[in-house]
Amino acid sequence: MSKGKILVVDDEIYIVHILDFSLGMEGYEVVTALDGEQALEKVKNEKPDLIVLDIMMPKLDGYEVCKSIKSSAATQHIPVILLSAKGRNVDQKLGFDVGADDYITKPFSPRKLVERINQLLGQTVTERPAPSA
Amino acid sequence: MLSRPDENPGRGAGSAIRLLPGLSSLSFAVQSAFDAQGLVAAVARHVLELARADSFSLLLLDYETGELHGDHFEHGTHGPTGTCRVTPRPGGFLAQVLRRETLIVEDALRMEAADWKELHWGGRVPHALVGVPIIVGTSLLGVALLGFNRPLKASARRRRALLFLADQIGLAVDRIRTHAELEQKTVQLEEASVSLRRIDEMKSELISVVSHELRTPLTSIKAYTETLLDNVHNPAFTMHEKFLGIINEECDRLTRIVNDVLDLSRMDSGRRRLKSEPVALDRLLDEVLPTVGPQLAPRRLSVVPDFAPGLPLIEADPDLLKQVLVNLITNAAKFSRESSPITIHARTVADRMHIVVEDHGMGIPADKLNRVFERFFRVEEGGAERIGGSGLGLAIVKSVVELHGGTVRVESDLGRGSRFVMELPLVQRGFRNLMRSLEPFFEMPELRTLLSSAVEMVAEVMEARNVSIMFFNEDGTELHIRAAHGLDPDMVARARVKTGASIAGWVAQTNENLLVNDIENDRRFRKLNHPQYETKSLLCVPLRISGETVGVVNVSSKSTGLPFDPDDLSLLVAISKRVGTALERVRSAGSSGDVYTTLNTIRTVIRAKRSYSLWSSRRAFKLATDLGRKLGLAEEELEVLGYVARVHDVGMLAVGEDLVLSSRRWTEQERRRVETHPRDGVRVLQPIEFASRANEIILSHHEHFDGHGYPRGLAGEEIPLAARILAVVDAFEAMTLGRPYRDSIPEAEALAEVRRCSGTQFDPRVVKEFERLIARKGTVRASSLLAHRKVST
Repeated sequence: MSKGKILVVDDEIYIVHILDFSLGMEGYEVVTALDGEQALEKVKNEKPDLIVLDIMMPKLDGYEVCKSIKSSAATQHIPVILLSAKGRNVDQKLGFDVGADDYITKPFSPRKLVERINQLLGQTVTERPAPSA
Repeated sequence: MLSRPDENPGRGAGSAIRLLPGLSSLSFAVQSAFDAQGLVAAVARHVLELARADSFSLLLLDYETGELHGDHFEHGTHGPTGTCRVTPRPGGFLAQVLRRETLIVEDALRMEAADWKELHWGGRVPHALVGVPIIVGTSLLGVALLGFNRPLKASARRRRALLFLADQIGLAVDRIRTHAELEQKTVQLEEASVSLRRIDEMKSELISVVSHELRTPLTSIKAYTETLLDNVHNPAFTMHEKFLGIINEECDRLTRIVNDVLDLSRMDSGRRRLKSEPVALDRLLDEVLPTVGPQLAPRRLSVVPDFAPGLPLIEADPDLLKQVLVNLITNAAKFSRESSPITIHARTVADRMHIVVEDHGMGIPADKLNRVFERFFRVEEGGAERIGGSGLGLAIVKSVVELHGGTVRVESDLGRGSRFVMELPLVQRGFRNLMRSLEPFFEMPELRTLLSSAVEMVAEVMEARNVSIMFFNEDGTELHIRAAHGLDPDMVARARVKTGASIAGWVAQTNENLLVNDIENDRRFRKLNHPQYETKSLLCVPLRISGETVGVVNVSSKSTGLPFDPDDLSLLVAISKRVGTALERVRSAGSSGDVYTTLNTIRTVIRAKRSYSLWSSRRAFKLATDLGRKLGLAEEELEVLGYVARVHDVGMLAVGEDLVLSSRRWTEQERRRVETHPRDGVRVLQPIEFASRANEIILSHHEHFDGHGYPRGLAGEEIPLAARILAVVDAFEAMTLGRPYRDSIPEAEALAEVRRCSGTQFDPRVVKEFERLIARKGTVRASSLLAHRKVST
């Protein structure tokens, strides 16, 4: 019984593994991608409920991926949490400018990330209009 | 013939006032000229105009050589008509003006020929000649000469006007110097600021990249540790071992990044000092293989050397070059297919060694080729295959190779493998050529004599029984004794030592000066055999020619039988530098004239030390260096002071041994002859003097603090501190040991005399410290110090 499907995007395989583990323990279904292009593909094919997105990645960086998700009507409702080693204010501002719902700096606490995901999904679930309505 | 201006100002003010409008135009000209040359010409033009003179020379004093130099100008011609550099003749016209006197020669035709010769006067001999000192504040800057083609009365008015003019010239000259210095400083400052800005930009860019790279392993460590902690009481959790393994691995990665960043930053900032040794590639590879083995074994990779035995040696830092090979092999291993070889090719091309590390792996796409040496750049895409390096390995390779004056590049066939090609300099051809150029010293009789005289000189100055000079062979692997004093000739002929297995080799390789007082128990040399030394106490310093170490100077067995101390070591450093200078001078000049002047200098020093070592005794040397240290002289200055204390009176030989050693008192005329000895000393030592500091000390050690000394009449701080120190020590020695013109007096009396002359002859600060020093040392019986040195007459 899945609480929802989460796409984890990072080029560091150990980060992907630990998020897979933590979110799995919490009852989420996890799909992963290791670069920006893969990420967009998975968004299209897997229709995740939330995306955890690294910024510095090969091929397509997290900003581009986020912008693309938020500019498409089919995907713009999906919450995006940027997860990045870039900790400066300008980096964060840029993140929110491209439409990210949250910005978490590495190193991060997996526990707090899970809490934040629960929160965001709870909110989006309540705010999202019922498909039948 | 020479008349001096009266001290009474008289009624000269009138002419000075008349000059004022003209002088303001002089200062205007000075302020508006653009460069130092233009300034001098402007000054000359105005002075010729104002003083209605026919010729004008502006000669500035070079404080390092005691020479005057400058340009000569004639009325009505544009720009200088000549230039001259002259050493003032003792007691001559220029020397008197340098003593801050204004001289007016009414009838210049009757001046002595020697004076004219000294003046290097370019044009026709003038009717009258005026010399004025140029003084700013208390500093003597030089001399201005004015020639007049008409009779000139040396009236009080004229003198006042001339003095006034001299002041203005002084200000102008001061401005010229400031101007020139300022220009130079501005250029230096601009260059420094550009390079600092560049370094700063590089630094902040590196910091932002590094902090990102550090966060990556830290993120894993944090995430896995927290998850482990959250599951401590979870019986279903079974991942402990895997998580701890990842944490451990990421900690290692963090450590590697930190180490590599530090290595790189040390190389960037030039703080990593490069050792430079002949390195054999095959031997280096033997040391590298065990380090990389663990990374090769799991994937059954092998390192295959592909080069002929007996390759020439590379000029390199072995530790750094080892790291380069480790990094390249590790890099190759990451990209290699399982069970494939990593081949190391090497061959020489011209004066370089080409080393190629070749792998049979996935290769590098063409568009990434020139980026692989960038810091934290990674070729792998998509993260499919995680390869955990620091991201700095190849950047370090590039830095190290470039630090060695080499190059590195990469070639690749996608899908088939990559080749990293390094070009490194072979053991320097420059060094070989230098050593080859020294061959004549070991073959040609007159050069051999020079070398053996140099050894004698070291023995005399150091008061040592055994001295030898060793030179490298051409490839720097062995040292041979080429000249020796006090050693068994048989042993000298046989003595050749391996560079890596001897004390001399240690000194030559590390370029460190060495003082050993117990050879058997010195931990540095336990592994080395040392049959060439028969004594326990020895000194060994590198011998350099043109900045390159060509061998060493060994000294052992002090004639007093006492062990050597650090002062002896710095004295040997100083004298060895002079030996290097002498060899360099003869080697590069290649004319026999230079051989004989240099040989003459060396022989004069030997003769001076043998004939009256009394004059610059060992105690004088110790007192001078102790005083220098107390008064805060820098280490390098101390070294020069110690050396000068040992040799400063060589000029006395030029004055005449008969005079110096005669037991009767000197006549006034003889005394004046003696007064030239500082200059003679400088002249004698010139061929082995590379820097001017020693000259300046020798030249000034008979100057008085109040400006009444000789030969230049310097005062106060104008006299170098080292010379002020030597003056006190020299006088004290003269009084307590006696001089031909003066009986010896007891130390207490001598000290009282030194004290009496504090502030007049001597610098009060030096005298104060000297008194403390003597009080601390207690009364040293001069005779006991002299017991083992006999004065030959």
